[in-house]
Amino acid sequence: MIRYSLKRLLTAIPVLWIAITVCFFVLRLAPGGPFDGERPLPQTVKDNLAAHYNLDKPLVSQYLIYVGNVAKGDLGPSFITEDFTVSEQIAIGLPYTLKLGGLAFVFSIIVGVSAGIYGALNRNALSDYALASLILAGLVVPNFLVAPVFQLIFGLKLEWFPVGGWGDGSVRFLILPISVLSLPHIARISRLMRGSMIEALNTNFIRTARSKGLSDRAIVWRHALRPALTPIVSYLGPAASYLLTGSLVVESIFGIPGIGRYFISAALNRDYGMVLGTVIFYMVLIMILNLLVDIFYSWLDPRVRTQ
Amino acid sequence: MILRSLKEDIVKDVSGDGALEKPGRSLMQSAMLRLMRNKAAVVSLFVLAALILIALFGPYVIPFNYEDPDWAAFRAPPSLESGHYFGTDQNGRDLLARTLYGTRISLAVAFVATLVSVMIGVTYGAVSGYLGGRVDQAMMRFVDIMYALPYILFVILLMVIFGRNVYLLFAAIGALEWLTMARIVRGQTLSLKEREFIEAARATGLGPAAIIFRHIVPNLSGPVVIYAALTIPEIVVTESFLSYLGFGVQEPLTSLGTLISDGSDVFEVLPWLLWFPASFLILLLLSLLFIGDGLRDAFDTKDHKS
Amino acid sequence: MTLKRILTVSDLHVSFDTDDGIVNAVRGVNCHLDAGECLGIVGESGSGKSQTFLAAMGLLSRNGTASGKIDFGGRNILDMTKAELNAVRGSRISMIFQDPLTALTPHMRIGDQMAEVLGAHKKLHGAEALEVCRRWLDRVQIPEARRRLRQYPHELSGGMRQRVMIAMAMLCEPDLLVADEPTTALDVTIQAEILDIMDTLRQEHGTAIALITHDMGVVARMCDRIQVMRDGEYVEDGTVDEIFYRPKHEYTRMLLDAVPRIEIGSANKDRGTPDVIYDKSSDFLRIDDIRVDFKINRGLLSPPLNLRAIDGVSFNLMQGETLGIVGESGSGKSTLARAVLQLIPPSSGSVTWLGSPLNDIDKNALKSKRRDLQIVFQDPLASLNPSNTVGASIMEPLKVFEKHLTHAQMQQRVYEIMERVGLNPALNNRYPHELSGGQNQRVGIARATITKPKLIICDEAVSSLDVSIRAQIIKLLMDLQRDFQLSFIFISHDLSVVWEISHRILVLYLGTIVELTDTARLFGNPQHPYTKQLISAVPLPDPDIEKKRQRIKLKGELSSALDPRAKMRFLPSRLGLVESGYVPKLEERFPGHFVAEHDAIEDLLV
Repeated sequence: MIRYSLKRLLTAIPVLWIAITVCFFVLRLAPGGPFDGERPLPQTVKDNLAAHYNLDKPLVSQYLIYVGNVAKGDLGPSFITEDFTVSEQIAIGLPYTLKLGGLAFVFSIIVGVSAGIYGALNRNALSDYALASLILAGLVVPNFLVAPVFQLIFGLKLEWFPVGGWGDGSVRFLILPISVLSLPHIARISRLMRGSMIEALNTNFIRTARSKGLSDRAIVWRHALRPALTPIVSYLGPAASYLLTGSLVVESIFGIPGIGRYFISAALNRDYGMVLGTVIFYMVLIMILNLLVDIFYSWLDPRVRTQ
Repeated sequence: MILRSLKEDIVKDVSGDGALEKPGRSLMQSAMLRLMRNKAAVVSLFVLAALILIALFGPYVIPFNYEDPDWAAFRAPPSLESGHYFGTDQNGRDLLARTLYGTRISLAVAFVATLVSVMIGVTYGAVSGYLGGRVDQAMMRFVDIMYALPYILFVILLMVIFGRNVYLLFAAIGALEWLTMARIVRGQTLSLKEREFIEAARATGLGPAAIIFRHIVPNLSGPVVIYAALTIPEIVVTESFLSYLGFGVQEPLTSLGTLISDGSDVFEVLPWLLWFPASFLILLLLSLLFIGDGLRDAFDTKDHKS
Repeated sequence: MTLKRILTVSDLHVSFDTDDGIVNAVRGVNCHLDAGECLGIVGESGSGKSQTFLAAMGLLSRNGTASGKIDFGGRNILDMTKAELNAVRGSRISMIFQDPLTALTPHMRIGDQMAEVLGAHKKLHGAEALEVCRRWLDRVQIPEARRRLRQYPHELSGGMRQRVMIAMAMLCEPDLLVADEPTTALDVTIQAEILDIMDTLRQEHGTAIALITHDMGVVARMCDRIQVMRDGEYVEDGTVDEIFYRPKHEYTRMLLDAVPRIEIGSANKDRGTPDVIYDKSSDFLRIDDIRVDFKINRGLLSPPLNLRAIDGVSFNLMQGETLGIVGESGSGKSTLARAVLQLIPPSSGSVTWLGSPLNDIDKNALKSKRRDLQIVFQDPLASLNPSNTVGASIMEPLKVFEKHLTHAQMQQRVYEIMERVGLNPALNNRYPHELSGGQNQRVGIARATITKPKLIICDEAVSSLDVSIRAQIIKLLMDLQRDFQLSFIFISHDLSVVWEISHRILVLYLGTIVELTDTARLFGNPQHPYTKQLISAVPLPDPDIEKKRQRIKLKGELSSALDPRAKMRFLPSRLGLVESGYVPKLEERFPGHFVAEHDAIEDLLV
């Protein structure tokens, strides 16, 4: 298992390197620079800035310096926010994003999986149709539409929760953003889960389990759950990156000072250093997550292990 | 299964059971027939057709244009008398015209990007599956890795660097949505390759090109159609999402995402600015989703065994 | 002596609600089972033979409903609540299924899967339960039972898995064991062992067995009484002797006639010499020392593993002759067929066709020769392109080899060949999924014969068909052979089919020839221990012979071709030579009778 994980990590490094290289050069190809603001700066100031950020050196040495720094964990300076390096900015935003994303991740898995199992076991019952409509709503209403509606209903009209902000980070502040963030995932996960559970319950080994006189509970929990979870597990990787995408919107709408919001404003302000740094950081995060997912996978299906 | 075997008359088999000369029904045709029996999918097909038609021809019929303000009507609520059926925005622009225009953009992005993703995905998947072996392993490992990357960030990166160009948006989304298609096509190709009818074709003396075009490609159409149909709504959402964040098409052009973004800012005072574009988006997504699901069920013969 | 009545089924109906309306799978069936007896339920696919007992186990699929009465211990099973039913199944009635790989839960250890039965019915848990499981694994002759308890199903061979299924079904010593095609997915030698185990358990524990099968040989060997089922009804029932020696119903007679009856130990069988004797000095088809290697990829970073699927096979074929190739799964028989046709290029050795080489020639030269070399596959549906009409599939070889014909002429040829193979030409525009298995196999044969080839390889061409259809297809093939002077290489795992159709037979074991001679001599005077074991394992549709016959059991199981020692299974005295790549040599023991080197059979018996 450890060898396997190491091997996966080793294959991830070249990928990361290629991605960084491509991003770096694509960025440099771009017309316009970070200092082409609305008020033109005097040329000397520009030159000083460029020298400070190594922008005056040949492209190849800029690239080598950057890759060298990234390898040391330094994502370089932010071009706009002078007081902080990119790593520091990320460190500031990370706790918010992690808490929001992590809770939404766990919440959507728990709710999605349970709803899916429930739907599979109560096929074509009234509650199954209710679940189907919930799934449909989650799939077709994008979260940037759900967010203002929730803010209006639960924030302004009912005054149950604050409309935005992080406050002290307590549950009251978290409920709205987490539900907005989770809704589409709950929809996808429960749809997948319902389908795979139905499929699992139709397999030959479930027929064997029934022929052994096991209770329905034992059949579902001991025999059907693990194979049914397989598609969910393979969805977790993409889900994590979808969740990040969602957090861009949710952090902006609810005014939460996480990485997502920094990223958007950095992108709109062409802060290359910050944009590139964030992309790299997210890539590493997601690769680690995928590794965990793969390990979990081999627990679900022992056949993967012996291969 | 039981049904099929029961129908199979054991003794009559020799005589060819005296069937009438009638055209058979291909798998594709039976799938389409099953689709037509799916009420939700049929209704959605009509809704989608209607949406496409009014998005295409509506702007020529209504008296307002998507960018010129009507100086007589700023922030006008929807009304039948003024001719602004959907009302106007803060700049006096007719919301109906803008919504139709936005729908057009959303649809265009969706179809072009889907086309791009289908082309890349099918080629990549078919090549990977047909070559097999180590090439296949390497190609699929690449897809696995790409799959896990936060691709929306890359799109944003591209949009930032190259300006908010609509064509680039098409290409960028399409180029990043092909991964699942590639996986599906590859899997299908691999399993087709192992099927005995491919071997039969080889034994007949058919060359690789003839095998690919006569025997593999026609059998890929089912999964490709299904998945393409499921990709379209994904792309519509992605586009509106990017536009919402301000990385999509630029003023005075507009898309449903941009309209929703503008609308949600003034949601409390001018609610129609959110409701109309939002309803269009939801209606569009809903019909696409039902069609995609309908197609999947229609092609999936697994559900039909007893 | 009257035996205890265990199960009484009266007027049972089972129906399924499908897309195409209600299907009545079982229509008013009556039967009963006494303690310790074995009842055979025989029928072809779709006859509803499994549904009776699935209903008794409460295992009908969701769209199925059963009505009538299944009396078990004074209670009607169909009226039981789920909890009552769960108390019965697994404990007093248990069941084993056809495919032991998919019938076991893949992610649970063997021990856990077995122990949970004891947990549910006897409140036995933990080490105590595992100990009971281990004893049962011993009883079904699984070696190293203690270790097996910790293994997962995919780590066991097919035969081992089925033994595990049996042990699991027997844990609570049930009154009735339902076996639904328990050996259909297994090789014939493994089948013999599984059937022996079931028979022993029945005698030792008095467990009644309901054996559902399509195989008359298995029934003849195992059963006391038989119910013959067709289209959801029992057409005839009686004791084994009645059914086999005095069948009353026309359908029963047809079933029995359709089964080839190997006459073992007699040299009477003679399909005669091939109708046309080709000049022996110049060969029709000659295979010389052919080898096929496969590379098994083990991920991106590890070097691929080499698997030698065919290891030095030589034989020849005359015009108009049928050579049968028999072997169990993993013997490489399908690979051999494909290597002959150059569908898989052999790694070494040569194939000579009408005096000129077939391998290592350029593509176009090979393509022109393909016209005379055709193949018919096992799965009729899979061997036809699902998106082409039947007519288009049959026409394809013409489009390749007779391009000068007009479309109308080609169509005419298609109609003619369809007629010839017993297909109604009206089916021309149909698609494969609209036809039955037998019809599709006729399409495959029509496609293979439309260019009037000289050699057709039949790769398990009748194995997936019901016996009655199988008999028709075999007859068709033999007719075509006579009319077109065809040669056949007929590959099958089924000795009785090969016996019926072949002039000569080649026995293959892990990619090497074990024995090669004419049919009568192979069955009349088999030389190699493996051949003897195979022949003794075939169940014969004759209860008298079957119940008296002694079976030969050899040490070891058919193992993987990846293990070089496996090839020396019949020559353990030379096991030391494995390192140097030694392969048992083929010797001509009698004229035209080739046998591979082996140790004396006494040393190989269990």
